[in-house]
Amino acid sequence: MYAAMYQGVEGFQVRAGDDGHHRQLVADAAAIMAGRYPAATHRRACYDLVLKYDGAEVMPFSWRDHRGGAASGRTTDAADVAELNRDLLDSDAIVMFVDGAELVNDPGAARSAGRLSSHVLRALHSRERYLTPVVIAITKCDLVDLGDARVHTMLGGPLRELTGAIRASRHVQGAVVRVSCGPSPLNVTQPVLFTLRCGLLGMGERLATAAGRFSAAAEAAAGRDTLPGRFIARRRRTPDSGSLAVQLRRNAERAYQDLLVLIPPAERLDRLLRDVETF
Amino acid sequence: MTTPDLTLTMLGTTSSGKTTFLLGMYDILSTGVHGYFTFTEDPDQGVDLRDAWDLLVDEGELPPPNVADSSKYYRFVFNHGFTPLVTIDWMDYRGGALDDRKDSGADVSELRTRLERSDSIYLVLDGGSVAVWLDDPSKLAVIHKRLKVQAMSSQVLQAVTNRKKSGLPNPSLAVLITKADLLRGPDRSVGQALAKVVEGLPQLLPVVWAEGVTTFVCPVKVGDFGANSTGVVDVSTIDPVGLHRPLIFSLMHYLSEGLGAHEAQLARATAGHSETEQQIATLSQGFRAYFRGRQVIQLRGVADSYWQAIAAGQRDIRSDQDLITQLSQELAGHPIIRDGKLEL
Repeated sequence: MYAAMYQGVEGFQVRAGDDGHHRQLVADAAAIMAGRYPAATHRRACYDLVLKYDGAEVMPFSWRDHRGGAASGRTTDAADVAELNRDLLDSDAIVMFVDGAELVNDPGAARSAGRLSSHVLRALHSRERYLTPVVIAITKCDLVDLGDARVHTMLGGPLRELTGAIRASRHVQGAVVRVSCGPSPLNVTQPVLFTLRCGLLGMGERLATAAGRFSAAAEAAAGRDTLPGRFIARRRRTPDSGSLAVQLRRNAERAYQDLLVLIPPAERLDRLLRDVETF
Repeated sequence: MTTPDLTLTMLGTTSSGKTTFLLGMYDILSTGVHGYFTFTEDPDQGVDLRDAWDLLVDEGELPPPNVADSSKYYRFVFNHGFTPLVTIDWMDYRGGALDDRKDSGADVSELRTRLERSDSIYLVLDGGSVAVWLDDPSKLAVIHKRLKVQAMSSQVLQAVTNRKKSGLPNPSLAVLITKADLLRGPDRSVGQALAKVVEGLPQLLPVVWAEGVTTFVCPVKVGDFGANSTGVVDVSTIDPVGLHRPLIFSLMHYLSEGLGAHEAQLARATAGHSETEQQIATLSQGFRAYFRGRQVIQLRGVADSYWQAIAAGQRDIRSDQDLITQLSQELAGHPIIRDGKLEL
C-alpha cells in the first residue's frame, strides 16, 4: 500500500512523517515486490502518515498495525492485546485483514475470521454520532480462484452477519476489498483510500457545522451591537458585539474555505472508488 | 435512550450442561445470528469462553465438571446489529444451595438474594434425566431428586413472592432441556418428546405453572454426543441447535414487562401536559391576562417539556413494540407458558 500510495494514485499521495519509517516501508515494499515477504508482525507498529492531493497536504492520519495474534489473546498475556483493544475504541476507521487462502483451504479459519466481529462490535456499538468506515480486506486473493462461486461463498461466509449489521447501520460504512501483494499487487490502495474518503467526509461535515455555527453566532452578535453596548464594552475593556461579530464572520469564512479545499479530492475519491463493493 | 440492564441467573445440577450451553451460545452469538450479536464487556472473558469452545470443537474436550461453590459471573452486551439492546449480568450458579449439605445456609442466602434481583432465571434440566422420566413416568420422584427440582422450585417461588412484595415484576423463567439429542427415543422424535415434556411439566416442574409467571421451554443441544459422553466427544457430532433462543426470550419478556411502566409514564406526561394547557388557557382569559404574561411563558415551557417527554415516550414504546414483534418471530413455534396457560 505504502509504495503504491507514495508513487501516487490519481493525484493522491501518502508519505510518512518520519524519514526512518519512510525508508523502512519503502524497503519492505521493494522486498515484497521481489517476492520476499516480511516476517509476521510481532508487536504494534504506529506510522504517522499524511495524505496529499495534487501536492498539497490534505489530511494527516495515523496507521496502527497489530500482530494477528493480538486479536485472539488475553490482555494479561501480552501488552499489545490491551493496546489493540484501546486502539479499536478510539480509531476513526478499522481495516480487518482476513487471509483469503486460509479461508478457502482451512475450515477452522472461518471460525477465527468470524470472531473478529466481536472486536468490531465492541469498538463501534456505542458510536452513533459520526460515520466510521470498516474495511474487510481479504488478502492473498492471488492464491484463490475468484471466479469460482464456491470460493466466493467461503470468502464471504464468516463475516456475513457482520456485513449485514454494517449494512443496516447508519453510523458504520463498510467495504470489502480483495487484495494481493507481491510482484503483481491487486487493489492494495483501495482500503486506505476508502477510509480516507470517509475521513474527508467527516472533516467536511465538521467544517460545515463549524461554519454554520460561526455564522449564526456572528448574526446574533451583530443583532446585539448597539452604541450603548459599545460604550460599556470600551469601559470594561472587553470586545464589543460588533467586533465579535466581525471575528465570528472571519472564522466562518475560514471554515468555509477549508471546506472548499476538500471538495475536489473527495469527488476524485468517489470516482476512484466507484467499483469498490460498499455497504 | 440508555441500555437497560438485565440480571440473569442460571440454575442446574453439576454436569447438566450449563457451561457447555454457555460456550456454544457465546460462540454462535459472538459471530451473529439473524442480526443478533453478543460480546463480553471484558474482552478477556470473551477469549476464555472462545478458547474453551475451540477446545471442544478441535479436540472434542467437554468443559470439566464445575468446581462447587465457585459461581461464575459474566457481563454480556446483547445487540441487534450495532444497536445495543441490553446488558446482561449473567450468573452461572454453582453453589451449594441446590445440594442437601447441612452447612448450606450461607449458600441459600446468597442464591435467594441473587434470585430476587433476577429478571430472568434459567432452570437447566439434563435431557438425559428427562428422557429417563419420559421412558418411565413412574421414575418421577427419582428424577426430581436427580434434577434438584425441589430446591430450584422453592428458591424460585421465594424469589417470585419477594419480588412481588417489593413491587417488582415477576422474573421470566426459561426451562432449558440440555442434551436434547437424548430426548429422542425409539418411538419418538425430539419434537414429540418436547410435546410430552410440556404436557408433563405440571408434574415435572410445577413452578413454571405458578400464577403470574411466564416460562419458555427450550430444548438445546451442542451436539449429538450420546448418553455416555464423559470428557471427550467426537467432534464430527458437534451440531449446535437453539442456543440463542433463551436469551431472545429473556429480552423479549423484559421489554414486554417494561412496556407497562413506559405506558404509565406516558399517561402521566399526557395528563401533566393537559393540565398545564388548561392552566395556560385560564390565565390567558380576561383583562388580567395582560399582567400574567411571564407566568404564561413559564407554563408554556413546562408544557413543551411535557410534549417532548410524550414524543420520546411514544417513540420508545413504538420501538420496543417493534423489537418485541421481531424477537417473537425467533421463538415462533416454541412453547411458552404464561400465567398457567400454554401458548404455542
